[in-house]
Amino acid sequence: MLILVTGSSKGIGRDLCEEFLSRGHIVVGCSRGQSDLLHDNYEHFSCDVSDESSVIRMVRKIGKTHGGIDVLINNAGVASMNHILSTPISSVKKLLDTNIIGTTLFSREVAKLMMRKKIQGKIINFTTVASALSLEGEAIYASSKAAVQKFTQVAAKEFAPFGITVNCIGPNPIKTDLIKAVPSEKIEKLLDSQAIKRLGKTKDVINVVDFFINQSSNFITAQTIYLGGVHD
Amino acid sequence: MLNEDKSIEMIIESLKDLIDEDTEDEKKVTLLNASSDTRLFGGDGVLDSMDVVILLSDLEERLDEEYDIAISLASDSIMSKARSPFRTVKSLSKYVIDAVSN
Repeated sequence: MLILVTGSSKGIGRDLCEEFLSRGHIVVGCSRGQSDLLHDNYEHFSCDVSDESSVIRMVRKIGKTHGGIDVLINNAGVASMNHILSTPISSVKKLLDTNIIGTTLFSREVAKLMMRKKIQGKIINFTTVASALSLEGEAIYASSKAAVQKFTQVAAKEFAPFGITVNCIGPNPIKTDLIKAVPSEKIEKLLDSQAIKRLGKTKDVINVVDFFINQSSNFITAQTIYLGGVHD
Repeated sequence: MLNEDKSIEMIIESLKDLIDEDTEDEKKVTLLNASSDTRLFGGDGVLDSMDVVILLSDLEERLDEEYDIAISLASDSIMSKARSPFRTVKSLSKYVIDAVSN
């Protein structure tokens, strides 16, 4: 399979790339900067996921080079923790650019490629338990990810005629850069609101990704799976 | 260089690609014999909204492969039955040329 992972230079994105490479898949990744991931089956693009022309060029190039994309993992995301009253609008726009515009752009361009190549593709988006739990201090992040969930549900309907499924995974806190600025007592409080009270691990995310991309999951679309027993 | 004649020719070729085993006979005849005046979307147009997004995607690919132009033809007015640039082959041709020029 050819798997495209956005936000692939670090964190969950990087781990996903390494996992799929270890299984013999071809992986294409992107991030704003370069990647030090070196592998014969890995290709990296420096790309701002919210820049329309960059995304179009990147997806077209993958189509020409590899023929198609089987799986898109819209992992690129930005988090922000702040009180609404002290949140600058520039931060809001930056976060929406990556979380909403990026997910929309890649889904649009990759779905077109999947449709043209008649690939029964899989698109996986990322939401967060912060959305389901309406966490204080996460208004913009949680809102943007709630939008990603709704986008997932509508995209699932619009792409279903082409045999493309669209699903969403909502990780709980995992030790990555995304939560490094969150105070430990806040993490503890969040974990306490989960049914299973522990930090998530990359392998928990991979397990859900595996379920969504399995060819036996062709009847699974528009769904969100949260880790740790969180629910809407 | 993409001019009006070439863009109309490209659109007519793309319309033929919309035909599959499920295409009704009357629609098939219209698509196979399309000309610059053929009504595509809205009113008595031959295309439905699903055809429009497939045609849009096909035209983007042709622009890229035949003219090395990587652009999006997305627009807020595409699904408007009254204002869609996909109303006729001719209006679509103008839209494509404008998009390429911009």
